[in-house]
Amino acid sequence: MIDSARRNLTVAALVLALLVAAPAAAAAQRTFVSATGNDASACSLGAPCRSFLAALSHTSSDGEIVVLDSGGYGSVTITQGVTITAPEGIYAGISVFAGDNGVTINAPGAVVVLQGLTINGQGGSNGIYFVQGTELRVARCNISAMTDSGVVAQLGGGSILHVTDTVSSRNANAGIRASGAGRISLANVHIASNGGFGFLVQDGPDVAMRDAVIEQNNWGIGAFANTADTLLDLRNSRIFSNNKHGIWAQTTGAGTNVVSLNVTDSEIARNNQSASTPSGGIFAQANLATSIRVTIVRTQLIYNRGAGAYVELKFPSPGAEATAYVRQSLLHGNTVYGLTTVGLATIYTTGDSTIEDNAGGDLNGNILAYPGPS
Amino acid sequence: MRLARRPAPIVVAAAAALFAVGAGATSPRTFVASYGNDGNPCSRVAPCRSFAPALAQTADRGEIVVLDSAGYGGVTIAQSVTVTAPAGVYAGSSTGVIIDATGIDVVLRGLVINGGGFSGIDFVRGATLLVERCEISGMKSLGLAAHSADAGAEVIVRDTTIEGNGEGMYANAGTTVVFSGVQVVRNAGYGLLFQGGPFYLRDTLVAENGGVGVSVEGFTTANVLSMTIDRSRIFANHSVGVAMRLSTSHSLSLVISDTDIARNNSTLVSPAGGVLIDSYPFPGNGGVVLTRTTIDGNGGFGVSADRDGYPSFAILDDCVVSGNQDTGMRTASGPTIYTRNNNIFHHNGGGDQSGNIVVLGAL
Amino acid sequence: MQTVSPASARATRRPLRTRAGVPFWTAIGALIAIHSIGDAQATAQRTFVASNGNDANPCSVAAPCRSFAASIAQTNDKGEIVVLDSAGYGNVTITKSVTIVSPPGIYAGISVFTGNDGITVNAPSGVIVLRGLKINGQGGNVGINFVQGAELRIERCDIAAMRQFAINASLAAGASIYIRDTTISGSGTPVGSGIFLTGGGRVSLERVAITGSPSVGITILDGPDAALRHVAVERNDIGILLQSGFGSTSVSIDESRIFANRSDGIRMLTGGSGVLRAAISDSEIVTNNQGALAPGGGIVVQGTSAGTGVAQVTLMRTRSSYNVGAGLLAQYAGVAIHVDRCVVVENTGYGLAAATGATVYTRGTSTIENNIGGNLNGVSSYAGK
Repeated sequence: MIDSARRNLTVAALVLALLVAAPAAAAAQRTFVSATGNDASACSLGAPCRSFLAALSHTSSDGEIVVLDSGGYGSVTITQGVTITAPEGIYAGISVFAGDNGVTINAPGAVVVLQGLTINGQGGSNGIYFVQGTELRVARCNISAMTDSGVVAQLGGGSILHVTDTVSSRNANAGIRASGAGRISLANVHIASNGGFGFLVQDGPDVAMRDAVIEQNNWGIGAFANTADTLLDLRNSRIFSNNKHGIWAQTTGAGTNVVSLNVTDSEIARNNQSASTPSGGIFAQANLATSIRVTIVRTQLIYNRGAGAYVELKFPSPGAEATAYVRQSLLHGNTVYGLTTVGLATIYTTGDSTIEDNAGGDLNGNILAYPGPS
Repeated sequence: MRLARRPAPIVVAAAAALFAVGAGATSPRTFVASYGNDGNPCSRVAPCRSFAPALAQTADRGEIVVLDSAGYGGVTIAQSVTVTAPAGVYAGSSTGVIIDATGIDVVLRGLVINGGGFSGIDFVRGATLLVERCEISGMKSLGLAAHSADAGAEVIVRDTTIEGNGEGMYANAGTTVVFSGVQVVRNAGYGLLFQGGPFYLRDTLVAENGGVGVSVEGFTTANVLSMTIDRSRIFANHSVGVAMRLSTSHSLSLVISDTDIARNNSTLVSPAGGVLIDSYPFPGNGGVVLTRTTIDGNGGFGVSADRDGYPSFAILDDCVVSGNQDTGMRTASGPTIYTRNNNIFHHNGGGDQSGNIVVLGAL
Repeated sequence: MQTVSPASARATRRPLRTRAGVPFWTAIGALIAIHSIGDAQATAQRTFVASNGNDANPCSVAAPCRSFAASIAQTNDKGEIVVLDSAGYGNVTITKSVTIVSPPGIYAGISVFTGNDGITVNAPSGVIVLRGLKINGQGGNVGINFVQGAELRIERCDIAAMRQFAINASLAAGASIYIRDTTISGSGTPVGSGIFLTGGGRVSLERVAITGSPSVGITILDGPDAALRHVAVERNDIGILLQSGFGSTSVSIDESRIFANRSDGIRMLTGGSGVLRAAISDSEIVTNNQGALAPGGGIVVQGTSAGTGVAQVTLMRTRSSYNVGAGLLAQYAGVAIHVDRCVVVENTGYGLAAATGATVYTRGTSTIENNIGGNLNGVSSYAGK
């Protein structure tokens, strides 16, 4: 009796051992997490995991992790292609504690997609940190209260950052910041109340953005080119109530880099709340042999504490320029000038803008009629 | 106190009838769920586990509703039907959907079709297809193949992403395509290829495709005078941003408005750049109107109308053409570019304008 | 508990005991003690409420609470309260930074009864975010009352039938309120407004619809820097009231629709030491002043007969048509308005009118036709630059 019982126990123990020791590395193309999940599970639909970290280790390359219900799922480092998706109606939270980032992507050659995540800083550094990869797509996310930035992207060799329907707010540094030779597409982003730049690009990215709201940051947008060209096409966006410049475009350094900035159908209003000087809704400054080119079309530059648009060429070398082109725009209610140039900068207008009610004067400096061709 | 329970025979029979899996018994609404079973009648309380058996149980013009998040497999559709996953539900389908029957109307909502097969959605035959809130990625060939053999087919795509496929989307001559809020990104070949049907793109992003961003080819049997790209971004495609290839007998006309066409043609395909109107291999007929559009930073020309195209044309109205590697707007060998004399040109590598440029007055 | 007859109870009163024999009040005391210790120590960065929650719970995802008031006590400063399913969760006063979020698809309601407000924010330097809440007046005064705080964000909310204000905010300099994707209906007594904003801070409204206020849809008074975009203001008495008696108020209204209001679509009043600036672009102001007040119209901008107060207004690519009264009426010195690329047609009064010392300028780029009282009255011209 005792022997058979012991044998049964042994068999049971073996079976149990086998079950428990079921290989955790059995990767699936689609895994699941749930607030009722368990990280010892297979992360399947019937036995979901509790954290992104556990689910990722069970997800095959370029697979998907699906969030089944509302809860917190922890920070994660991603080194493969994967999609993490929380459908609308499900709150998928990541609280980020000191010394950590919310989602780190270090996945050379891979594509990572993050949808529907809420990343909330509780001492953590960055919400999403794109170290390496072919593309990072961020959709319907909400990132706040990081001690550094909401989204950081180191774009090299043509990497792509693609952000839509996302909020990045109340981070100590930038809402979104990126550098390197890559491409950025932003649509319907809301970047607010960040301690540094709302959106900062440096040295290399090409940016096409529309329907952005960038407000109450220290500076709205920063576009800098100190070591490589930067292009920024901005459309149907609003940049307002930032503490300093609405858009700060600046080039310097040893090369002939160019910042190209095209602002269309947008509103740049009530920036420079701190009343620092000089300042502008758009503040563009080229130094040495570098250049800045700005077009402002059908855009409202209003109520900025400073100039509507300020364009400066400083210490220029031959070939350097700071030039703006203004068409069919409104410059109204700025506390200093509407349009102003400093140094050998030039602003061309096509004679069809309304430039009125600017406290320091509507036009100042080298403002010329656009000579064509048109 | 225990009550004797003896179910009434009629109730039992009725229940049995309800649960009988009748071969011909289809329902106007069927359900799939992660806990479903393909032997079920696919009802709300007894859902199926995958799309194909659910479709077999769905009446013509009925609906398949996805109840919760899971993968539901590929399906071939030969009847009118709506497959819908509500917001909040993730409905995966690795191998995708084939639509193949004349005259049918199909609606697909909220599907994630991810990297199994050849085409994500293959519209082989059918009258109308509506794709809403879907994601199609990783397919070996087309994300969306709209080559319905039905005359006058229509494809409407809303709030959908087509990414990382062999090519983004193809539409044959005669298929009308309507886009709203669509992203066609990082497909290995072209982003969009329209072979001459009318198309209306709005709030569309075509970016980072390995070939041409939007390719319009005029090998068609009818004049197509209504093609529009509005409030969109054609950005960083490795070949031409928007390429129109005209044919001899028929007219094509495309209006691009309130759009950014930037940083295309990094591979410096020639002649090309941001926008190309090309007649090849025959003299062409038609052209493009660009209004309130920015064409900047493209490799090659900003806008080029090329070859022996007559009377092909481009019209620029209230645009900004800047920073292109070669000439801003340029014609060669025949076509004319008209300007409304209200554009801004600056910093184009080969000069701002060259070739047959004519100022066009307002009316 | 055993039933004991009154006589025998007096004689043989025994202490209440739980089943386990533990004295009842000791057990209760222990429970209270445990709960109190929980209150003091166990606050979390994220708490949850649900329809089957219990306010005695720790408000975790597995043991959610039943009301916002209970869960906020258990939430860290700068933490979040997440609504798990559809139900009502009660009034709440907020005195710290917190986010309350109800995801799309979930109805999170607050019914507000007589004498109460729905959500009161009184959190010095607090940052408060409210998402996806439905506040329904059942006699209550104010839907969301922003008494004090650094920043308040209201997103995807729906506020109806409040007696006094749907949203009332008094903003200190540097404070801000941001409202988007929100609908406001039927709020504001004859002295209230749908939305009432005053003080020296910053305001932003985006994709907000305000209808059915018996008084004013939106009032912006004495000081805010305000940006309104994709705002629909319809069937109120006055659509939007901008007023500056002292301080500087600047308002931009972009891609908005103000229509079918009983009184003026937009009324601007300046006086005293006030400076009022407004930039209206790509908007539609139509069929207003249906109650035919005079003077009245689509847009009415008034200084004072003493010439105090300054108003500087620009209208760009905007349509002010089909109003009862003027498309645009400017009155008294100190008021200057520039009109560029607008459409002003079929108003029952003037298209554009400058009266009693005000100035209205056009650039000659607008379509101003078929206004029954006349297209232009007292209007000057200006040149583009």
